Amino acid sequence: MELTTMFIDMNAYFASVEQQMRPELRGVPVGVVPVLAESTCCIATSYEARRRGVKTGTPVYEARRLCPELRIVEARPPLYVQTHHKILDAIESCLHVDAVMSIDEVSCRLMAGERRPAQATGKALEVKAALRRECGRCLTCSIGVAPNRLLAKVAGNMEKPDGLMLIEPRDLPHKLYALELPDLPGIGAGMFHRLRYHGVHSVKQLCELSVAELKEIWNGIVGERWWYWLRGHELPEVPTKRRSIGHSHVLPPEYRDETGARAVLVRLLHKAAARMRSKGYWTRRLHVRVAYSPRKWWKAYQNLELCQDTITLMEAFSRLWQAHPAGRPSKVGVVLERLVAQCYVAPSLFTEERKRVRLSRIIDDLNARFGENAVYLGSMHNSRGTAPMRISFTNIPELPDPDIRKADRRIRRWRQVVVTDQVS
Amino acid sequence: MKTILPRQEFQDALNAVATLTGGRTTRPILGCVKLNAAGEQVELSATDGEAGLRLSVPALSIEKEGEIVVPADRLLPIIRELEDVEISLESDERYCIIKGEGSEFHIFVMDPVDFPPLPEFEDEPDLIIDGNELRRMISLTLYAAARETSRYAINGVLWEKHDKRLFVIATDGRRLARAGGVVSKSSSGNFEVIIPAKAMSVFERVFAPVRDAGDWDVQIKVMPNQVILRTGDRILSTVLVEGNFPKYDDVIPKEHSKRARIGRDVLLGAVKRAALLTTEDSRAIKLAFEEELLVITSQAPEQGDARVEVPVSYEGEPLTIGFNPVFLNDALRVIPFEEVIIDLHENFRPGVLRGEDKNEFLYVIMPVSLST
Repeated sequence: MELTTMFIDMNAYFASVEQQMRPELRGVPVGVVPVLAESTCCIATSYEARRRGVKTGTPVYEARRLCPELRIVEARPPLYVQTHHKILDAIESCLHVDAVMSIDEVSCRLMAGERRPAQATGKALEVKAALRRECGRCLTCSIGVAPNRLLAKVAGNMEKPDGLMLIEPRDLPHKLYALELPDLPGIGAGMFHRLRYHGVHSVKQLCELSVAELKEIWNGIVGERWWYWLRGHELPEVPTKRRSIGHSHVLPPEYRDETGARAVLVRLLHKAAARMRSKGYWTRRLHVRVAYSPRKWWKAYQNLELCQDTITLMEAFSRLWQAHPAGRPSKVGVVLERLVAQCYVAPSLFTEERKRVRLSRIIDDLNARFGENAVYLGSMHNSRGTAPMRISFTNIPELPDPDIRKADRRIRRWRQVVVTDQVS
Repeated sequence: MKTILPRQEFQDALNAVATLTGGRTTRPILGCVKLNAAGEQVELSATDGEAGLRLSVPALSIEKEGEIVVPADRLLPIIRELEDVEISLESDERYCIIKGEGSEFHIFVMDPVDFPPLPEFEDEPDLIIDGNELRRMISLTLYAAARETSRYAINGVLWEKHDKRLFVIATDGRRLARAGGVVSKSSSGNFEVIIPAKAMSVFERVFAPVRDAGDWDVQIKVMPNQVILRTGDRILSTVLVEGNFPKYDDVIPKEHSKRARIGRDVLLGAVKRAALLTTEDSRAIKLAFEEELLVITSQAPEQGDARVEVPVSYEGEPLTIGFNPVFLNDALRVIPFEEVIIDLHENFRPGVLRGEDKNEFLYVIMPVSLST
């Protein structure tokens, strides 16, 4: 058993990027928020803010109470995506990135000559230096090295910020005993309670369970995987399959009515459809969701014959929307479900349907070339500025090429092209 | 109403009309069956709001004429579970009372006045066609109708009358099936109507008086917004689908450069075997045609692959083309020919599966690209 995996986790990522880009924020508590509103909460906080009790998820009003000098900063997702790519380049200059886990986490596989503790430590320090050099000194990271990805992530979390920790095979399992159960990735609130129900209150107890006991607790094969992971074994990754593509958005106050919710949904549907096409999928179901309060959701879906074009999806959406209840919506979302890869889809026999798909793809191409919303369907005219880019835990939005964005700005000055929804 | 009915005949009739009552509806009366005892028989009616079906059962006796409306999902299981040869049905304003040997059931009834009226078959029919012929045409096409689409017109089946022939056409956009037959008698001009797939399904499943009972005719009346079919005392009515059916003639290939002839059972078996290693998200098989050999391959990502070889008579340059196996299977399991002809051109153009006579049946399928 060797040290095969290095896990790199950027510290307080969004806040660190802001501190790097804005020197006046360095050394002061910073809270990054999705929109500048008192009702929202921090999506990232600097270590200075964390020391004052302001954490990710703390509401802004609470954060101000805990830390009156807190600097509230509006998130700039495109900047974080750009920096993410710079980080990848910097790491790649030292070792190959095996998997991008999220916008601020990557996993790398160490080569045969890098798997001894001294060599792995040297490689980790090389990565840290490259990040400082290429991305700036505010962008620190915690690095964990271990015989598998789960343990490498655990090791990375053991020393923050700017840490480096190795879990060697000989350290297992006793090095894990100091951890709490929720410190292990994959043990969330539900799993934590299930473990407690089975009398497991510590990592030591977890490590002492047999394969059969773990399978019973996890109610399946995942329990067996945990037995191997905790002992440092590497298991083949279970391939993931994309089943849906969707977007959701918390409505800003001015959009919290029927017209606003519809407009944002239309925008989200256009975004989701374009993303689906770019990834080479077709959908068989459109799902629309509207939250009227935390407990009151309206959900509706329409099954479709295989569909990829925005116009057909808009028609389906319009039919679904007719049944929406009255109320004050607070959050909306669309999901394209039951996806099928392009290579398994027979195109339509009928020219009109093929034209619709072709039109959607041409619009995608133009937007890729000249920037978002250079060309769009008329149905999105009133909502094209809504639902700006957001970064989820695992999905990193794609950015247009910088030169293309310049071209886009030029084009915008000249004209905006609006294509009518009707295909003649 | 008070009557005694033969249980088995009544159950069969109830089963037939109940095909229209099972759907989800906000109108409870559409989940009911209307029973009308008059003369020497009891007429059963049901409707889903679009299609309606009426048929009769000869009564053993009718003591009191009248009509009641009973929830089908209550009545049918009771009739099924009774083991008597005869059952007694009677009703008052609140209940339908069903009596068998040692059993008695009371079901709340609804007001017959609220039951949607079903159209009468009046005047002379516009068309008469052999019932088995019409059922064959529907079986050969119905599977290709769209089930879930935003284009309502292709959720229906197109009936196209052209002189002495009737064509039935269905498509879901990626395949198209057309079957044709000769009408026995026609007193109307040419027409095109789109009939909901559900009504066609009801026809195929329950409309024939007795399955394989020999010759039987269907009288057809076409009106501006509905069509009515009658055979004996059975009447099926349905509203028509509004909208334009796609110009299907344009998608039927006019030329081919390759032709394969293969036994229907041989091809069906091979397609079924190859399809075992496809998944719901990767429904595609590859057909490689050579002079005497057809090789069908498939691949299920992360699971495995399959290769099936069958003899074929093939004319033209070798060709490899991908199809959705479900599309092939749907047609092959219903077509009545021993040998099928597959006309092909290029691997990105539609293929045509057919019998000797194109007018009798043809099936156009769009290939999948199979490129990643």
